[in-house]
Amino acid sequence: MTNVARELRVTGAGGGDPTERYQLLDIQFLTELYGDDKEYAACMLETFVDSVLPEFAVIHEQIQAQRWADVHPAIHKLRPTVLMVGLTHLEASLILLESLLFKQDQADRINAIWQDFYTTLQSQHPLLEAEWQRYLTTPNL
Amino acid sequence: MILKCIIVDDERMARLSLQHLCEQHESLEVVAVCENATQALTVLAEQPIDLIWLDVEMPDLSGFDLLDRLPVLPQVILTTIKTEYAFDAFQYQVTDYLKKPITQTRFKVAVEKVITAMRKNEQVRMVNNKAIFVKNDGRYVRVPYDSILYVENTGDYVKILTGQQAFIVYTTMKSLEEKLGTQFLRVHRSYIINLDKIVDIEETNLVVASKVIPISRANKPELMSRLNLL
Repeated sequence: MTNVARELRVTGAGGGDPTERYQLLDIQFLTELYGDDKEYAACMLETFVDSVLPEFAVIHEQIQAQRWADVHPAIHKLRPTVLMVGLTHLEASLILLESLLFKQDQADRINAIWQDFYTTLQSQHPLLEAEWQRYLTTPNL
Repeated sequence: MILKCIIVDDERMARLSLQHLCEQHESLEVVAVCENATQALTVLAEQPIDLIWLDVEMPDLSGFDLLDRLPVLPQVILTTIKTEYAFDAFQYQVTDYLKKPITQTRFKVAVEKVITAMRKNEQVRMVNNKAIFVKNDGRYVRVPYDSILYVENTGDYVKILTGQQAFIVYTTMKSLEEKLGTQFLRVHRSYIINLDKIVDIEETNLVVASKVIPISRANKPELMSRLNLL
């Protein structure tokens, strides 16, 4: 796990009101994807937290280094993953970033949109962990 | 019907998701999960595959690049986050086109489409198994196996004799032998006969529709073993 990914876990360790979970995770879409297959849902959430978040951390480094040619395919590849964990509200930022990166201009705008996206993604980490645990531990979910 | 399938996607969650959905489906068997098109080409060269779950945008070789390299296309379901590839998908005659992430409902619909297409292909194959199409006067004529008496080698060509006519075809005896069904047997280097049309057999020849056909010594045991002798 990269340093950035480790930092994500620490940052997201705060508690918060459990009812807020449903404000940012698209539970309806998760139900559409996974139905009542809790193991499947838990596996996807686990993979996102353990494997995909570190990949977003790598993109963060690439953006800071303005390696646009690497960033575009990486964002395109990972776009479906945010939907797969119910972060449907984050997809619009990634679509916009892909579009700006395709033209390879407006570096300041790309940086600003990315920063906003990445900060929000980091803030969702505790919710994702909680949802993952909920799928693992709650019978008759 | 169990369909052997492979999953090709450069993104881990997509691979895991498809693998899970396939493993839950009674008609699918996952033979390989590939991270790129090159890996998939290796698998496809090693064994027959019925269905490919194929991502479009991958580094180095895209999904379409992979399809371009296949001599015969199996059933293909494209999986992508973009909808812009619909026209290309149509051009490649893929069975279905799924937008990521893939819901369980949409997955099942896609598999049903594949099963329907496979059944249709199987029916076509069964019809083709009862006849061959022979080029005659610039068109292909259907010649049912049951109508063929024997095939005679005439040098560069072979002559297919039916009760009504003879067709001269530019091919080899070996190639034709492989195409014809099990009711045919090569009894001599110059003759393939329809076993159902034999009138009688002597020591070194047999008769099919008044034509005397030689039997080679090497082919005789196979001939006799294929006949219902008393």
